[in-house]
Amino acid sequence: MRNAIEVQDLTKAYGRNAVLRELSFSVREGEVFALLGVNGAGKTTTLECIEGLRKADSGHITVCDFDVPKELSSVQKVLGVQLQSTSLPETMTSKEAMRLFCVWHKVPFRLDLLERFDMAGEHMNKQYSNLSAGRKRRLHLALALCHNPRVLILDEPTAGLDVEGRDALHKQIKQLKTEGVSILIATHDMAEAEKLSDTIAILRDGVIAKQGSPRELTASADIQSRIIIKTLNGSLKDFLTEGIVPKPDILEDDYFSFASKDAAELLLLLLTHIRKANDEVVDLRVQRASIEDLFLSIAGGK
Amino acid sequence: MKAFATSLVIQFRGDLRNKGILMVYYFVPIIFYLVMSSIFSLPGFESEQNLIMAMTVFAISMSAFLGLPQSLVQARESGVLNAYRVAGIPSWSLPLSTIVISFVHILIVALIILISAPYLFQAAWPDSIPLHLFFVAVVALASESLGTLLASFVRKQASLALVGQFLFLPTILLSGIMFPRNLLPKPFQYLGEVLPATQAMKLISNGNFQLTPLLILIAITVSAFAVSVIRFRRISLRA
Repeated sequence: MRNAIEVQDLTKAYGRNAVLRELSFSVREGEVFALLGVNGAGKTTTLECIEGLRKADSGHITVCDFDVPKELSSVQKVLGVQLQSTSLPETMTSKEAMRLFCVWHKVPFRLDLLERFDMAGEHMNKQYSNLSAGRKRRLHLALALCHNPRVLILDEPTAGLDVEGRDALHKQIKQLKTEGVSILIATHDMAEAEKLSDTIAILRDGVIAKQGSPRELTASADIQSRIIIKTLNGSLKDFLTEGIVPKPDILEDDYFSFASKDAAELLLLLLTHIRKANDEVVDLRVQRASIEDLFLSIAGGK
Repeated sequence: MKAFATSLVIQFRGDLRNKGILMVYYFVPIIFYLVMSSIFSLPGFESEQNLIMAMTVFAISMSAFLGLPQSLVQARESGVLNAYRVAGIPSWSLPLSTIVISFVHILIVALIILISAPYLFQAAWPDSIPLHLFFVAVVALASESLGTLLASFVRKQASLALVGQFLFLPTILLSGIMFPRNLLPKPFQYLGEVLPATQAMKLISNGNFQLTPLLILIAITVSAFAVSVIRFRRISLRA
Protein backbone atom coordinates (compact mmCIF):
# COMPACT_ATOMS: atom_id res chain seq x y z
CA MET A 1 0.00 0.00 0.00
CA ARG A 2 1.29 3.48 -0.88
CA ASN A 3 1.88 6.18 1.63
CA ALA A 4 -0.46 9.17 1.64
CA ILE A 5 1.86 11.16 3.90
CA GLU A 6 5.52 10.54 4.44
CA VAL A 7 7.56 12.46 6.98
CA GLN A 8 11.29 11.80 7.17
CA ASP A 9 13.76 13.21 9.67
CA LEU A 10 11.67 16.32 10.27
CA THR A 11 13.45 18.79 12.50
CA LYS A 12 12.12 22.09 13.74
CA ALA A 13 13.26 24.42 16.48
CA TYR A 14 11.95 27.72 17.78
CA GLY A 15 15.09 29.54 18.74
CA ARG A 16 16.97 27.13 20.99
CA ASN A 17 13.88 25.08 21.75
CA ALA A 18 13.96 21.98 19.55
CA VAL A 19 10.34 20.92 19.02
CA LEU A 20 10.81 18.15 16.44
CA ARG A 21 13.94 15.99 16.35
CA GLU A 22 14.31 13.98 13.16
CA LEU A 23 10.70 12.89 13.37
CA SER A 24 9.72 10.17 10.91
CA PHE A 25 6.41 8.45 10.25
CA SER A 26 4.12 7.62 7.38
CA VAL A 27 0.37 7.48 6.88
CA ARG A 28 -0.78 4.75 4.53
CA GLU A 29 -3.51 5.33 1.95
CA GLY A 30 -6.97 4.88 3.46
CA GLU A 31 -5.61 4.83 6.99
CA VAL A 32 -6.68 6.89 10.01
CA PHE A 33 -3.48 7.85 11.80
CA ALA A 34 -3.61 9.55 15.21
CA LEU A 35 -0.83 11.67 16.57
CA LEU A 36 -0.97 11.87 20.36
CA GLY A 37 1.11 13.98 22.68
CA VAL A 38 0.97 16.32 25.61
CA ASN A 39 0.81 20.08 25.02
CA GLY A 40 4.05 21.22 23.43
CA ALA A 41 4.94 17.74 22.21
CA GLY A 42 5.04 19.09 18.65
CA LYS A 43 1.76 17.80 17.19
CA THR A 44 0.56 21.09 15.77
CA THR A 45 4.05 22.00 14.52
CA THR A 46 4.21 18.65 12.71
CA LEU A 47 0.85 19.25 11.08
CA GLU A 48 1.72 22.83 10.15
CA CYS A 49 4.92 21.65 8.47
CA ILE A 50 2.91 19.10 6.47
CA GLU A 51 0.32 21.73 5.53
CA GLY A 52 3.07 24.09 4.40
CA LEU A 53 2.16 26.70 7.01
CA ARG A 54 5.49 26.35 8.73
CA LYS A 55 8.94 25.87 7.28
CA ALA A 56 10.88 22.92 8.64
CA ASP A 57 14.56 23.33 9.54
CA SER A 58 15.39 20.05 7.84
CA GLY A 59 13.77 16.82 6.76
CA HIS A 60 11.54 15.72 3.95
CA ILE A 61 7.74 15.66 3.67
CA THR A 62 5.58 14.31 0.88
CA VAL A 63 1.81 14.23 0.52
CA CYS A 64 0.63 11.81 -2.18
CA ASP A 65 4.20 11.93 -3.50
CA PHE A 66 4.17 15.73 -3.81
CA ASP A 67 6.96 17.49 -2.01
CA VAL A 68 6.17 19.99 0.75
CA PRO A 69 6.82 22.88 0.36
CA LYS A 70 8.25 22.69 -3.19
CA GLU A 71 5.00 21.44 -4.75
CA LEU A 72 2.64 23.12 -2.33
CA SER A 73 -0.01 23.99 -4.91
CA SER A 74 -0.19 20.32 -5.97
CA VAL A 75 -0.28 19.29 -2.31
CA GLN A 76 -3.20 21.63 -1.66
CA LYS A 77 -5.16 19.95 -4.46
CA VAL A 78 -5.03 16.58 -2.69
CA LEU A 79 -5.03 17.78 0.89
CA GLY A 80 -7.93 18.98 3.05
CA VAL A 81 -7.16 20.64 6.36
CA GLN A 82 -9.15 21.49 9.45
CA LEU A 83 -6.98 23.63 11.66
CA GLN A 84 -7.20 23.64 15.45
CA SER A 85 -7.40 27.40 15.65
CA THR A 86 -9.23 28.63 12.63
CA SER A 87 -11.89 31.07 11.63
CA LEU A 88 -13.78 32.73 8.80
CA PRO A 89 -14.86 36.35 8.46
CA GLU A 90 -17.55 36.84 11.10
CA THR A 91 -20.24 38.03 8.71
CA MET A 92 -19.62 35.38 6.06
CA THR A 93 -22.45 32.87 5.75
CA SER A 94 -21.90 29.12 5.46
CA LYS A 95 -23.19 29.26 1.90
CA GLU A 96 -20.80 32.07 0.96
CA ALA A 97 -17.89 30.23 2.56
CA MET A 98 -18.64 27.11 0.54
CA ARG A 99 -19.05 29.18 -2.63
CA LEU A 100 -15.71 30.91 -2.00
CA PHE A 101 -13.78 27.71 -1.28
CA CYS A 102 -15.35 25.93 -4.27
CA VAL A 103 -14.62 28.74 -6.71
CA TRP A 104 -10.96 28.87 -5.67
CA HIS A 105 -10.72 25.10 -6.08
CA LYS A 106 -12.49 25.38 -9.46
CA VAL A 107 -15.23 22.93 -8.46
CA PRO A 108 -19.01 23.45 -8.63
CA PHE A 109 -20.80 24.65 -5.48
CA ARG A 110 -21.02 21.70 -3.03
CA LEU A 111 -24.51 21.89 -1.54
CA ASP A 112 -24.22 18.14 -0.97
CA LEU A 113 -21.45 18.71 1.56
CA LEU A 114 -23.46 21.31 3.46
CA GLU A 115 -26.34 18.83 3.55
CA ARG A 116 -24.09 15.98 4.60
CA PHE A 117 -22.75 17.97 7.55
CA ASP A 118 -26.21 19.22 8.47
CA MET A 119 -25.28 22.75 7.46
CA ALA A 120 -28.00 23.23 4.85
CA GLY A 121 -31.37 24.85 5.43
CA GLU A 122 -31.41 27.59 8.07
CA HIS A 123 -27.71 27.15 8.88
CA MET A 124 -26.67 27.87 5.29
CA ASN A 125 -27.50 31.56 5.56
CA LYS A 126 -26.32 32.02 9.14
CA GLN A 127 -23.31 34.24 9.63
CA TYR A 128 -20.19 32.51 10.89
CA SER A 129 -20.26 34.42 14.19
CA ASN A 130 -23.77 33.09 14.87
CA LEU A 131 -22.83 29.42 14.46
CA SER A 132 -22.22 27.24 17.52
CA ALA A 133 -18.76 25.72 18.05
CA GLY A 134 -20.03 22.40 16.74
CA ARG A 135 -21.51 23.93 13.61
CA LYS A 136 -18.30 25.85 12.96
CA ARG A 137 -16.34 22.56 13.14
CA ARG A 138 -18.77 20.92 10.76
CA LEU A 139 -18.53 23.81 8.35
CA HIS A 140 -14.72 23.76 8.39
CA LEU A 141 -14.76 20.02 7.77
CA ALA A 142 -17.20 20.49 4.88
CA LEU A 143 -14.96 23.22 3.44
CA ALA A 144 -11.89 21.03 3.82
CA LEU A 145 -13.64 18.39 1.70
CA CYS A 146 -14.98 20.63 -1.04
CA HIS A 147 -12.33 19.55 -3.55
CA ASN A 148 -12.56 15.82 -2.67
CA PRO A 149 -9.10 15.58 -1.11
CA ARG A 150 -7.37 12.22 -0.87
CA VAL A 151 -5.79 13.18 2.43
CA LEU A 152 -7.36 14.98 5.37
CA ILE A 153 -5.60 16.56 8.33
CA LEU A 154 -7.64 17.24 11.45
CA ASP A 155 -6.06 19.12 14.33
CA GLU A 156 -8.01 18.52 17.56
CA PRO A 157 -11.23 18.00 15.56
CA THR A 158 -13.51 17.57 18.56
CA ALA A 159 -11.96 20.06 20.97
CA GLY A 160 -14.69 22.08 22.66
CA LEU A 161 -17.53 19.95 21.28
CA ASP A 162 -20.31 18.44 23.37
CA VAL A 163 -20.95 14.68 23.38
CA GLU A 164 -23.48 14.89 20.57
CA GLY A 165 -21.20 17.00 18.40
CA ARG A 166 -18.26 14.70 19.02
CA ASP A 167 -20.29 11.63 18.16
CA ALA A 168 -21.55 13.21 14.93
CA LEU A 169 -18.03 14.11 13.92
CA HIS A 170 -16.73 10.61 14.73
CA LYS A 171 -19.38 9.15 12.43
CA GLN A 172 -18.28 11.50 9.66
CA ILE A 173 -14.63 10.56 10.11
CA LYS A 174 -15.51 6.85 9.95
CA GLN A 175 -17.56 7.50 6.82
CA LEU A 176 -14.66 9.34 5.20
CA LYS A 177 -12.38 6.41 5.97
CA THR A 178 -14.76 4.04 4.20
CA GLU A 179 -14.59 6.40 1.22
CA GLY A 180 -10.85 5.86 1.08
CA VAL A 181 -9.71 9.19 2.50
CA SER A 182 -6.45 8.99 4.44
CA ILE A 183 -6.80 10.89 7.69
CA LEU A 184 -4.16 12.28 10.02
CA ILE A 185 -5.59 13.39 13.37
CA ALA A 186 -3.81 15.21 16.17
CA THR A 187 -5.75 14.86 19.37
CA HIS A 188 -5.62 14.92 23.14
CA ASP A 189 -8.61 12.62 23.33
CA MET A 190 -7.27 9.11 23.93
CA ALA A 191 -10.66 7.45 23.60
CA GLU A 192 -11.15 9.22 20.28
CA ALA A 193 -7.76 8.05 19.03
CA GLU A 194 -8.44 4.50 20.14
CA LYS A 195 -11.92 4.49 18.63
CA LEU A 196 -11.10 5.97 15.24
CA SER A 197 -7.52 5.13 14.40
CA ASP A 198 -5.81 2.31 12.60
CA THR A 199 -2.46 3.55 13.82
CA ILE A 200 -1.52 5.65 16.81
CA ALA A 201 1.80 7.41 17.29
CA ILE A 202 2.69 8.90 20.64
CA LEU A 203 4.89 11.93 20.31
CA ARG A 204 7.27 12.79 23.09
CA ASP A 205 10.10 15.33 23.04
CA GLY A 206 9.83 15.70 19.28
CA VAL A 207 10.15 12.03 18.38
CA ILE A 208 7.72 9.14 18.19
CA ALA A 209 8.00 7.24 21.43
CA LYS A 210 5.58 4.48 20.46
CA GLN A 211 3.65 3.57 17.34
CA GLY A 212 1.25 0.81 16.35
CA SER A 213 -2.39 -0.16 16.15
CA PRO A 214 -4.39 0.49 19.33
CA ARG A 215 -4.48 -3.25 19.99
CA GLU A 216 -0.76 -3.69 19.39
CA LEU A 217 0.09 -0.79 21.62
CA THR A 218 -1.98 -1.92 24.56
CA ALA A 219 -0.86 -5.54 24.16
CA SER A 220 2.83 -4.85 23.83
CA ALA A 221 3.11 -2.13 26.38
CA ASP A 222 4.39 -2.51 29.88
CA ILE A 223 1.04 -1.55 31.32
CA GLN A 224 -1.43 -3.54 33.32
CA SER A 225 -5.07 -4.45 33.02
CA ARG A 226 -7.18 -4.17 36.13
CA ILE A 227 -9.62 -6.59 37.77
CA ILE A 228 -12.10 -5.13 40.21
CA ILE A 229 -13.94 -7.74 42.25
CA LYS A 230 -16.22 -8.10 45.29
CA THR A 231 -17.31 -11.37 46.89
CA LEU A 232 -20.20 -12.17 49.19
CA ASN A 233 -18.16 -13.43 52.16
CA GLY A 234 -14.94 -11.51 51.57
CA SER A 235 -12.90 -14.70 51.15
CA LEU A 236 -10.27 -12.92 49.07
CA LYS A 237 -8.76 -11.45 52.24
CA ASP A 238 -7.47 -14.91 53.23
CA PHE A 239 -6.13 -15.51 49.75
CA LEU A 240 -4.02 -12.38 49.84
CA THR A 241 -1.98 -13.59 52.77
CA GLU A 242 -0.83 -16.61 50.72
CA GLY A 243 1.14 -14.27 48.41
CA ILE A 244 0.00 -16.01 45.22
CA VAL A 245 -1.66 -12.94 43.69
CA PRO A 246 -0.32 -9.39 43.52
CA LYS A 247 -1.30 -7.08 46.35
CA PRO A 248 -4.53 -5.30 45.39
CA ASP A 249 -5.80 -1.84 46.14
CA ILE A 250 -8.62 -2.15 48.63
CA LEU A 251 -11.47 0.06 47.56
CA GLU A 252 -14.66 1.12 49.33
CA ASP A 253 -17.40 -1.44 50.07
CA ASP A 254 -14.94 -4.39 50.22
CA TYR A 255 -13.97 -4.13 46.56
CA PHE A 256 -10.49 -5.30 45.58
CA SER A 257 -8.65 -3.87 42.60
CA PHE A 258 -5.87 -6.04 41.12
CA ALA A 259 -3.43 -4.86 38.47
CA SER A 260 -1.84 -7.42 36.21
CA LYS A 261 -0.27 -7.77 32.78
CA ASP A 262 -1.92 -11.18 32.52
CA ALA A 263 -5.49 -10.53 33.57
CA ALA A 264 -6.76 -13.91 32.35
CA GLU A 265 -4.31 -15.88 34.51
CA LEU A 266 -5.07 -13.73 37.56
CA LEU A 267 -8.80 -14.02 37.06
CA LEU A 268 -8.53 -17.79 36.87
CA LEU A 269 -6.63 -17.85 40.17
CA LEU A 270 -9.14 -15.61 41.88
CA LEU A 271 -12.19 -17.55 40.70
CA THR A 272 -10.62 -20.87 41.67
CA HIS A 273 -10.01 -19.56 45.17
CA ILE A 274 -13.49 -18.14 45.48
CA ARG A 275 -15.00 -21.47 44.42
CA LYS A 276 -12.82 -23.41 46.87
CA ALA A 277 -13.83 -21.05 49.68
CA ASN A 278 -17.51 -21.59 48.87
CA ASP A 279 -17.76 -17.85 48.31
CA GLU A 280 -19.71 -16.07 45.57
CA VAL A 281 -18.84 -13.24 43.19
CA VAL A 282 -21.09 -10.24 43.76
CA ASP A 283 -19.47 -7.90 41.23
CA LEU A 284 -16.67 -8.35 38.73
CA ARG A 285 -15.17 -5.91 36.23
CA VAL A 286 -12.15 -6.37 33.99
CA GLN A 287 -10.65 -3.17 32.62
CA ARG A 288 -8.16 -3.77 29.88
CA ALA A 289 -5.15 -1.50 29.57
CA SER A 290 -6.14 1.52 27.52
CA ILE A 291 -4.30 3.87 25.24
CA GLU A 292 -4.69 6.43 27.99
CA ASP A 293 -2.73 4.23 30.41
CA LEU A 294 -0.05 3.77 27.78
CA PHE A 295 -0.05 7.47 26.95
CA LEU A 296 0.35 8.40 30.58
CA SER A 297 3.21 5.95 31.00
CA ILE A 298 5.01 7.27 27.92
CA ALA A 299 4.10 10.92 27.58
CA GLY A 300 4.28 11.42 31.32
CA GLY A 301 7.75 9.94 31.27
CA LYS A 302 6.89 7.43 33.97
CA MET B 1 -10.09 36.04 -12.02
CA LYS B 2 -13.56 34.59 -11.47
CA ALA B 3 -12.46 33.36 -8.06
CA PHE B 4 -11.13 36.77 -7.06
CA ALA B 5 -14.28 38.47 -8.36
CA THR B 6 -16.35 36.10 -6.20
CA SER B 7 -14.12 36.98 -3.22
CA LEU B 8 -14.82 40.67 -3.83
CA VAL B 9 -18.59 40.18 -4.01
CA ILE B 10 -18.58 38.08 -0.81
CA GLN B 11 -16.33 40.59 0.92
CA PHE B 12 -18.61 43.49 -0.04
CA ARG B 13 -21.76 41.70 1.10
CA GLY B 14 -20.11 40.68 4.35
CA ASP B 15 -18.96 44.24 5.01
CA LEU B 16 -22.51 45.51 4.60
CA ARG B 17 -23.59 43.10 7.35
CA ASN B 18 -20.75 44.19 9.63
CA LYS B 19 -21.84 46.92 12.05
CA GLY B 20 -18.23 47.84 12.88
CA ILE B 21 -17.38 48.33 9.22
CA LEU B 22 -20.54 50.33 8.56
CA MET B 23 -19.74 52.53 11.54
CA VAL B 24 -16.17 53.34 10.47
CA TYR B 25 -16.73 53.56 6.72
CA TYR B 26 -20.16 55.15 6.55
CA PHE B 27 -21.92 56.21 9.75
CA VAL B 28 -19.21 58.27 11.51
CA PRO B 29 -17.78 59.95 8.37
CA ILE B 30 -21.24 60.90 7.13
CA ILE B 31 -22.37 62.20 10.54
CA PHE B 32 -19.09 64.13 10.81
CA TYR B 33 -19.62 65.50 7.31
CA LEU B 34 -23.16 66.62 8.09
CA VAL B 35 -22.25 68.24 11.42
CA MET B 36 -19.02 69.91 10.30
CA SER B 37 -20.47 71.05 6.99
CA SER B 38 -23.40 72.66 8.86
CA ILE B 39 -20.83 74.62 10.84
CA PHE B 40 -18.51 75.39 7.93
CA SER B 41 -21.41 76.62 5.82
CA LEU B 42 -22.23 79.31 8.36
CA PRO B 43 -21.37 82.88 7.30
CA GLY B 44 -17.75 83.84 7.94
CA PHE B 45 -16.15 80.44 7.37
CA GLU B 46 -15.75 80.84 3.61
CA SER B 47 -15.00 77.18 3.23
CA GLU B 48 -17.39 76.37 0.39
CA GLN B 49 -14.47 76.06 -2.07
CA ASN B 50 -12.78 73.11 -0.37
CA LEU B 51 -15.63 71.70 1.73
CA ILE B 52 -16.15 68.65 -0.49
CA MET B 53 -12.47 67.73 -0.58
CA ALA B 54 -11.99 68.33 3.17
CA MET B 55 -14.94 66.17 4.15
CA THR B 56 -13.94 63.49 1.64
CA VAL B 57 -10.40 63.44 2.97
CA PHE B 58 -11.74 63.01 6.50
CA ALA B 59 -13.84 60.03 5.39
CA ILE B 60 -10.88 58.54 3.53
CA SER B 61 -8.56 58.96 6.51
CA MET B 62 -10.98 57.39 8.94
CA SER B 63 -11.62 54.42 6.68
CA ALA B 64 -7.99 53.91 5.74
CA PHE B 65 -6.40 54.37 9.17
CA LEU B 66 -9.05 52.99 11.49
CA GLY B 67 -11.16 50.64 9.34
CA LEU B 68 -8.83 48.93 6.89
CA PRO B 69 -5.99 47.99 9.27
CA GLN B 70 -8.50 46.50 11.74
CA SER B 71 -9.94 44.25 9.04
CA LEU B 72 -6.49 43.15 7.89
CA VAL B 73 -5.13 42.41 11.36
CA GLN B 74 -8.36 40.72 12.44
CA ALA B 75 -8.14 38.37 9.45
CA ARG B 76 -4.61 37.42 10.45
CA GLU B 77 -5.16 37.27 14.20
CA SER B 78 -8.38 35.26 14.10
CA GLY B 79 -6.94 32.58 11.84
CA VAL B 80 -8.93 33.46 8.69
CA LEU B 81 -5.75 33.94 6.69
CA ASN B 82 -4.43 30.52 7.70
CA ALA B 83 -7.79 28.91 6.96
CA TYR B 84 -7.61 30.35 3.44
CA ARG B 85 -3.96 29.42 2.93
CA VAL B 86 -4.30 25.76 3.86
CA ALA B 87 -7.29 25.58 1.54
CA GLY B 88 -5.10 26.71 -1.33
CA ILE B 89 -6.64 30.16 -1.52
CA PRO B 90 -3.72 32.49 -2.31
CA SER B 91 -2.58 34.44 0.71
CA TRP B 92 -2.73 37.71 -1.25
CA SER B 93 -6.42 37.33 -2.04
CA LEU B 94 -7.79 38.23 1.39
CA PRO B 95 -5.72 41.40 1.98
CA LEU B 96 -6.23 42.47 -1.62
CA SER B 97 -9.99 41.95 -1.57
CA THR B 98 -10.14 43.82 1.75
CA ILE B 99 -8.19 46.74 0.26
CA VAL B 100 -10.24 46.81 -2.96
CA ILE B 101 -13.57 46.71 -1.14
CA SER B 102 -12.36 49.33 1.33
CA PHE B 103 -11.62 51.48 -1.73
CA VAL B 104 -15.16 50.87 -3.00
CA HIS B 105 -16.65 51.93 0.36
CA ILE B 106 -14.52 55.09 0.25
CA LEU B 107 -15.69 55.91 -3.28
CA ILE B 108 -19.34 55.44 -2.28
CA VAL B 109 -18.98 57.87 0.63
CA ALA B 110 -17.01 60.28 -1.57
CA LEU B 111 -19.88 60.21 -4.08
CA ILE B 112 -22.46 60.79 -1.33
CA ILE B 113 -20.50 63.86 -0.21
CA LEU B 114 -19.90 65.08 -3.76
CA ILE B 115 -23.55 64.83 -4.72
CA SER B 116 -25.13 66.12 -1.52
CA ALA B 117 -22.78 68.90 -0.37
CA PRO B 118 -23.67 71.45 -3.08
CA TYR B 119 -27.37 71.04 -2.31
CA LEU B 120 -27.22 70.76 1.46
CA PHE B 121 -24.41 73.18 2.24
CA GLN B 122 -23.97 75.28 -0.90
CA ALA B 123 -20.51 73.81 -1.39
CA ALA B 124 -18.86 74.67 -4.69
CA TRP B 125 -18.88 71.90 -7.31
CA PRO B 126 -15.40 70.82 -8.38
CA ASP B 127 -14.31 72.42 -11.68
CA SER B 128 -13.92 68.97 -13.13
CA ILE B 129 -15.80 66.06 -11.58
CA PRO B 130 -13.68 63.35 -13.29
CA LEU B 131 -10.52 65.10 -12.05
CA HIS B 132 -12.00 65.34 -8.55
CA LEU B 133 -12.81 61.62 -8.58
CA PHE B 134 -9.29 60.89 -9.84
CA PHE B 135 -7.85 62.88 -6.94
CA VAL B 136 -10.14 61.06 -4.51
CA ALA B 137 -8.91 57.74 -5.89
CA VAL B 138 -5.26 58.79 -5.58
CA VAL B 139 -5.70 60.05 -2.01
CA ALA B 140 -7.68 56.93 -1.08
CA LEU B 141 -4.94 54.66 -2.44
CA ALA B 142 -2.21 56.62 -0.68
CA SER B 143 -4.10 56.50 2.62
CA GLU B 144 -4.93 52.82 2.18
CA SER B 145 -1.28 52.08 1.51
CA LEU B 146 -0.38 53.63 4.88
CA GLY B 147 -3.23 51.74 6.57
CA THR B 148 -1.95 48.52 5.03
CA LEU B 149 1.58 49.30 6.13
CA LEU B 150 0.29 49.83 9.64
CA ALA B 151 -1.47 46.44 9.56
CA SER B 152 1.72 44.76 8.36
CA PHE B 153 3.66 45.97 11.42
CA VAL B 154 1.09 45.74 14.21
CA ARG B 155 0.26 42.19 15.23
CA LYS B 156 -2.62 42.70 17.67
CA GLN B 157 -5.95 44.42 17.12
CA ALA B 158 -5.81 45.90 20.61
CA SER B 159 -2.57 47.74 19.82
CA LEU B 160 -3.85 48.71 16.40
CA ALA B 161 -6.72 50.77 17.79
CA LEU B 162 -4.16 52.94 19.55
CA VAL B 163 -1.55 53.04 16.77
CA GLY B 164 -4.22 53.90 14.18
CA GLN B 165 -4.99 57.05 16.14
CA PHE B 166 -1.35 58.15 15.71
CA LEU B 167 -2.07 58.46 12.00
CA PHE B 168 -5.68 59.54 12.17
CA LEU B 169 -5.49 62.36 14.74
CA PRO B 170 -2.53 64.18 13.12
CA THR B 171 -4.39 63.87 9.83
CA ILE B 172 -7.34 65.73 11.28
CA LEU B 173 -5.27 68.33 13.07
CA LEU B 174 -2.30 68.94 10.76
CA SER B 175 -3.62 68.52 7.22
CA GLY B 176 -5.79 71.60 6.91
CA ILE B 177 -9.11 69.75 6.95
CA MET B 178 -10.37 71.53 10.05
CA PHE B 179 -8.51 74.84 9.90
CA PRO B 180 -5.86 76.51 7.72
CA ARG B 181 -2.41 74.99 8.11
CA ASN B 182 -0.73 78.39 8.18
CA LEU B 183 -2.21 78.87 11.66
CA LEU B 184 -0.10 75.93 12.91
CA PRO B 185 3.41 76.33 14.33
CA LYS B 186 6.10 75.65 11.71
CA PRO B 187 7.23 72.23 13.11
CA PHE B 188 3.65 70.98 12.91
CA GLN B 189 3.34 72.28 9.36
CA TYR B 190 6.45 70.30 8.37
CA LEU B 191 5.17 67.21 10.19
CA GLY B 192 1.87 67.46 8.35
CA GLU B 193 3.65 67.33 4.98
CA VAL B 194 4.07 63.54 5.19
CA LEU B 195 0.33 62.95 5.50
CA PRO B 196 -1.67 62.05 2.39
CA ALA B 197 -4.48 64.31 3.63
CA THR B 198 -2.18 67.35 3.57
CA GLN B 199 -1.13 66.61 0.02
CA ALA B 200 -4.77 66.03 -0.90
CA MET B 201 -5.70 69.50 0.33
CA LYS B 202 -2.86 70.97 -1.78
CA LEU B 203 -3.87 69.22 -5.02
CA ILE B 204 -5.99 72.18 -6.04
CA SER B 205 -4.62 75.56 -5.12
CA ASN B 206 -6.33 78.77 -6.30
CA GLY B 207 -8.28 76.70 -8.81
CA ASN B 208 -5.14 75.20 -10.37
CA PHE B 209 -4.03 71.59 -10.32
CA GLN B 210 -0.69 71.07 -8.52
CA LEU B 211 1.62 68.31 -9.76
CA THR B 212 3.96 68.04 -6.76
CA PRO B 213 1.34 66.84 -4.25
CA LEU B 214 0.16 64.28 -6.80
CA LEU B 215 3.69 62.92 -7.22
CA ILE B 216 4.16 62.78 -3.44
CA LEU B 217 0.89 60.83 -3.09
CA ILE B 218 1.96 58.38 -5.79
CA ALA B 219 5.35 57.96 -4.11
CA ILE B 220 3.66 57.28 -0.73
CA THR B 221 1.36 54.73 -2.36
CA VAL B 222 4.07 52.82 -4.22
CA SER B 223 6.55 52.74 -1.35
CA ALA B 224 4.02 51.89 1.41
CA PHE B 225 2.40 49.11 -0.63
CA ALA B 226 5.84 47.73 -1.59
CA VAL B 227 6.97 47.54 2.05
CA SER B 228 3.59 46.04 3.03
CA VAL B 229 3.92 43.29 0.43
CA ILE B 230 7.38 42.40 1.75
CA ARG B 231 6.09 42.41 5.32
CA PHE B 232 3.02 40.29 4.48
CA ARG B 233 5.13 37.78 2.57
CA ARG B 234 7.42 37.46 5.57
CA ILE B 235 4.45 36.96 7.91
CA SER B 236 2.85 34.54 5.49
CA LEU B 237 5.53 31.87 5.97
CA ARG B 238 6.06 31.69 9.69
CA ALA B 239 9.53 30.22 9.70
